[in-house]
Amino acid sequence: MEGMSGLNPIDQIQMPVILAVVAIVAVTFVLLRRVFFAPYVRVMERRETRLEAAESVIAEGEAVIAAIEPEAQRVLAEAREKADELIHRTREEDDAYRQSVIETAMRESSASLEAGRAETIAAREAEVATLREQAIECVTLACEKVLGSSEPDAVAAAVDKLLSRRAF
Amino acid sequence: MFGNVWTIDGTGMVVVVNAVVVSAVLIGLGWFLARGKLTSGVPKGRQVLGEFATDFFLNKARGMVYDYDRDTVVQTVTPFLGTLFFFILASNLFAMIPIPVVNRPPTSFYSVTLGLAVSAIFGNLVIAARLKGPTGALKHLFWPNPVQFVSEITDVLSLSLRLFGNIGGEYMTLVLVAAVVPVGIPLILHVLGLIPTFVQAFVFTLLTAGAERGLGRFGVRPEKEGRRIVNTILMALVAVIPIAAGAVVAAFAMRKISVTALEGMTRQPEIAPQLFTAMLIGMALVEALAIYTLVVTLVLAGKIVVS
Repeated sequence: MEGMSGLNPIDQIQMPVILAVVAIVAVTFVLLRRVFFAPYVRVMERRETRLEAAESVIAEGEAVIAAIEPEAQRVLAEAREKADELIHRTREEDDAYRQSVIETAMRESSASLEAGRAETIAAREAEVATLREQAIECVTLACEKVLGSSEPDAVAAAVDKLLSRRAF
Repeated sequence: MFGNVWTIDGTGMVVVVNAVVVSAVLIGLGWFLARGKLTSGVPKGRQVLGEFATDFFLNKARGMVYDYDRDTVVQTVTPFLGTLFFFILASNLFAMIPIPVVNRPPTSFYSVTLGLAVSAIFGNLVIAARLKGPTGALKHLFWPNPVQFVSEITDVLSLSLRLFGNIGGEYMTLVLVAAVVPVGIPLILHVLGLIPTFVQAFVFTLLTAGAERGLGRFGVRPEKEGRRIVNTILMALVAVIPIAAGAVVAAFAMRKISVTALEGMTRQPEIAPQLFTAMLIGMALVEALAIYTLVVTLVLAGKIVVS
């Protein structure tokens, strides 16, 4: 209960205590400033300066970007135009090449077809000639068996007539 | 009435020794936190704690730069506000030491809070003199109002009485309760006491910073003046009205306490000392309510930059 003795602030006014507190606060301020606050304030101010410098660099960069933006847009539009032109030209070249390839293929296939057709005709004619010879021989043999004689020229003419009617 | 103010009693000796201990602890802790190389890059370890302790006061100081040399302001104002805050906080926390009498918080003794208030206001004047020169600082005391210096004296009184009333009241409550119930309840009071412990240190420092801003305002650039006036009006609307309401309610409560106590003292003069004690404790608690309103108001005011 010792502490209860002085609840009245006026009773607690003691000049030596006041002066001592002022001195203690002053000493604490000086020493704390030197050992603690000064280094921290220095470091934090340096960081602030660095941040401000970085922000100004960012602002400068943004200004440069803003300044070159129209030029960049123009270059971009030009490049886009050139690219479109190139694509168009390439497409045309592709179309021409494709057309030439198709024409060549058509030409080659027509030639192959013609050659095949000629070959087929030749083969058919050879076969027809063989058939004619065999037919003449067969008819001649049959005439000789039935009639005792035969007329080769007449038989050949008859077979030719018959073959021409079949129109191979 | 004042007795012999040039003598020092036992309690005075205890609080002075405790104040020296607080100072030594703070300096030791400060030295420990600032030991080694500090980086301006990403802080780690102890540096995080050190920067956390410095940041608030550094921002306050940056807000007072105006047209003055930035280095001088931040290198002087930051440690000044920081020293006051941590000194008061550590002093308030002294009551947590579980040794009776020795644990008397220096801030529960009026001479100490008066010494702190004198240091705060005198420190403000010294800082203002460094920034504006001795004439500029002295000019503030007498111009534009010739009795402007009275506000500095009332600042000293209000700062010292507020801190003493709250911490002294809290300590006396603790002593009284501990005398009746030595175990349990005092611990709860200790925990509850942490709130005013921090709030009072905070309020004292903020009010000192406010007074410092007042001293520094001579250097406000004219182009900022218009915006300052608008913000001052805003401040009056959103910040001053709540504190006025809080103060009026607290004033009524204090009136009730003092009237009732005086009636009691008149009826039974023999128990006047006990009634006086109870009256002061009650007033300190009511004052705490007003201070909570002040804290909210200061937070609101912080959102409006007047200058």
